[in-house]
Amino acid sequence: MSKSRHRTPPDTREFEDPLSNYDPVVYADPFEKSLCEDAVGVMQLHPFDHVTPETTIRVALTKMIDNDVACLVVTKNEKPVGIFSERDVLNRVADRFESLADHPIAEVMTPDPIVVHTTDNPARVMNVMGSGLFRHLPVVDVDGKLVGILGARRVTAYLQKYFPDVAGA
Amino acid sequence: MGLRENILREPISVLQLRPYAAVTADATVRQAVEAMRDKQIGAAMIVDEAGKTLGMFNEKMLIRLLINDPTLLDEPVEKHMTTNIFTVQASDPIARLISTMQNRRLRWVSINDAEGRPTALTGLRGVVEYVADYFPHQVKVQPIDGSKVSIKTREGA
Repeated sequence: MSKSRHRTPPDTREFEDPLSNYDPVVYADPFEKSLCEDAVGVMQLHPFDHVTPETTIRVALTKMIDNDVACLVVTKNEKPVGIFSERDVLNRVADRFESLADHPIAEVMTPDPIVVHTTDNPARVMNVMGSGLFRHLPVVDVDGKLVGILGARRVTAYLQKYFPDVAGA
Repeated sequence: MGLRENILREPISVLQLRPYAAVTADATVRQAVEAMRDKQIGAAMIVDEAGKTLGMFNEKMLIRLLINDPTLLDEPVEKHMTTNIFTVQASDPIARLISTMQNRRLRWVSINDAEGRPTALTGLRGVVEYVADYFPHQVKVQPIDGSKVSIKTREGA
């Protein structure tokens, strides 16, 4: 018995590079393509406001009004540790503002916010916003450092680029 | 049909619209805030006895008011509301809602019936959910309680 009987017969089929017949994803329009293939940076991420956990609620609210922002990111060593939005004011501050005004924002912020990364695409951002019911998402880099914030108005601005000439608006 | 086409054609009524919070003009700001909190929505409609819209009060106005003078919370909301409201109809295309919010820098748009009574309030969330529904595979996985995922041993081969 020759040894060759146990060998796998040589593969006579021609080698085919798996990438050579790769079908790229087909998108119905540039809007869908952008949603899936662009990075979150196609939306406006700046300017953004951040405060430290020790900032008082009074200072934070004043900052929100002065800078016309709906949300502040609370950071420690440049990393987001909380988020404080208009909704937090409504739910936790409105009734007892006078007694809370000089307390640190850490007491009323929403801690450990859900974030998106600079490499995420707009569709993913919308999924996070839609499923988690968040209106604001801090955007962080690979090291978890805050690089921007995405809110409702910025998402609308991105969407509107694709619907510029709708009558009546 | 692509997503863009659908946004241009489909009516606003297919979005998940929020029940709106409404108070009458003689209600205090505090009552409006309670109504907003109750419905978990960032704006309240101020309506007359017939249910027609008179104005709107939103979170931004609340913050401004708290900073200026928290005692104003007990004043009638009518004194602090805005009458600059833009409305759309449920049969308008979704694209019109997007353009309206952006061009007029609005956070909230009221959806009125033919008689001018509000039926729902919508912000961006309905649109975001609508777009997200098209991309169910674009999920982002991360711990929601801020805990770090720790894997001590290797998974798989």
